[in-house]
Amino acid sequence: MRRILDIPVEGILPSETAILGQQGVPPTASSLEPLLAVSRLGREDMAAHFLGRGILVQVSVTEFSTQYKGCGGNDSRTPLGEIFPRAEALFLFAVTCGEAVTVRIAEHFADNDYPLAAALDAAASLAADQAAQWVQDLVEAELSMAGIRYSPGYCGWHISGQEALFAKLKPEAIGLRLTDSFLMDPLKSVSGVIVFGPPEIHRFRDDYSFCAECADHECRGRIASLNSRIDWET
Amino acid sequence: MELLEQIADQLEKGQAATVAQLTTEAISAEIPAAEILNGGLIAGMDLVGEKFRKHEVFLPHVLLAAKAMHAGMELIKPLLMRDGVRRVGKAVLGTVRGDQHDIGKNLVGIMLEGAGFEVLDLGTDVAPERFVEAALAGGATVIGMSALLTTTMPVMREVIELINERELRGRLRTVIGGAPVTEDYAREIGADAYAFDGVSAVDRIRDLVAGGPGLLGGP
Ligand code: B1M
Repeated sequence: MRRILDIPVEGILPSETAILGQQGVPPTASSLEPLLAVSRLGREDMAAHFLGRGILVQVSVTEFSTQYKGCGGNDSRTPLGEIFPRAEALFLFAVTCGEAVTVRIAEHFADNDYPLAAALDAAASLAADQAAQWVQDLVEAELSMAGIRYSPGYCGWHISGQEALFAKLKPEAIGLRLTDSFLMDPLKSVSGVIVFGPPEIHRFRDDYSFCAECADHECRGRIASLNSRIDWET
Repeated sequence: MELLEQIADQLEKGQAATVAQLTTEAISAEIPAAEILNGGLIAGMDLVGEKFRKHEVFLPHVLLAAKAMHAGMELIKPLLMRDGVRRVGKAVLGTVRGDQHDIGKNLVGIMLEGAGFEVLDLGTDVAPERFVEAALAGGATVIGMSALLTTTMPVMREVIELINERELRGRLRTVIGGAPVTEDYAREIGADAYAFDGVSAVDRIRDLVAGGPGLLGGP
């Protein structure tokens, strides 16, 4: 079943400090007040123009194994490649903040309001990720199981994997289009697969060949948070 | 504090309204527009750029300063044209074909303008021919290319090959940047320079415009 979801802006909106963090400003930086003021404007603008939509389709392990292979560009060893065959449930998803936010960012640049343009851009980047989290939270609540999501373009999954994902999701229904270079239009969008299963399938060491180039090793936090999100004893 | 120093100081603090007011005062006091530009506006951007390099301020601070610079610049632009003041250099800038990412490229453009360059921003999804044609038509000597995807990075090589084919190497120099781009990649494809961010793009382009060797050891 293919589900189309309207994503509410509440709970998606990033905080002013998160918007600054996304722009590389540490919370300990001095003279933050003018920056926080701009972030506040960016946040308000985000709230006014966010048109969050998502699309979600459950697929079987067999079906996903074809989709995952995509056009063959994946690294030979990847965490997702090793995890999904053991999954209990797999959901393809795509989410977008909508076109209006992107248009708005460009308008601020055209008006030479660079600080506001950058604040809104940062807010929209965070919101796109948060929208993906919202979809994941929704499925987690329905399944009473915690998951981890993976996206083409990350962790050895080649970005061309977008093609197979889009063929199944048909996210044109939420105004999302894939370009020849596998970019999604509108820009502030995220796609991927949410993998569900017992906690042990999700655990891996981030020592794959591509991990050396990764700046944040976000996977560690995601794996660590699995247990806190779902009470596995029940 | 002298008027131009005040402009630089207020600009560094991101005070757009005050910069506009002080620039108006400087114009009334008949300070030549070129001096207001170099001693006030660009000097202020250099101050904030220096602090950014030392991690004393961050990107949004630099953008507030750039907005203030723009407020002053609007006032002196007609005077610069009247006086026939030449800008430090002219660069064409764009995100390569197939790529829609533009924030990084925009930030580089803002920094270049802040450093006194004239920037011809071609936008996103720019074909190799357009980079070269626009540079030739606009009299630019530098082509700046941005790419945020591994799938679009190869277009940078196409632009450089086109420059070579048309025997424009040396006349058109290239700078590349964007998340997946590295200095090694720049060497590999024969770009003149690689820049990590907007502030370093200004440094690299200043070098190239001054006839510096770049990665290739010469224009
Ligand atoms: C001319 O000379 C020069 C000189 C310097 C130059 C220059 C030119 N051009 C740029 N610079 C430099 O100066 C600028 C100012 O400092 C800088 O410009 P930037 O544009 O880099 O910097 C901006 C000001 C801030 N930076 C950014 O906005 C990008 C940051 C990273 C983390 C990023 C973000 C935030 C996002 N993303 Co995504 N994203 C990544 C990025 C990884 C990274 N560390 O950079 C990248 C670009 N993304 C990637 C991917 C895969 C994706 N993203 C996606 C989504 C997103 C978000 C929506 C969550 C968000 C916003 C996207 C956007 N750009 O608007 C998806 C695609 C979105 C789409 N529309 O298709 C998706 C495909 C994931 C998915 N399947 O959903 C990767 C691309 C990998 C590849 N193979 O090419 C990626 C490199 C991350 C990674 N894997 O490490 C410098 O690069």
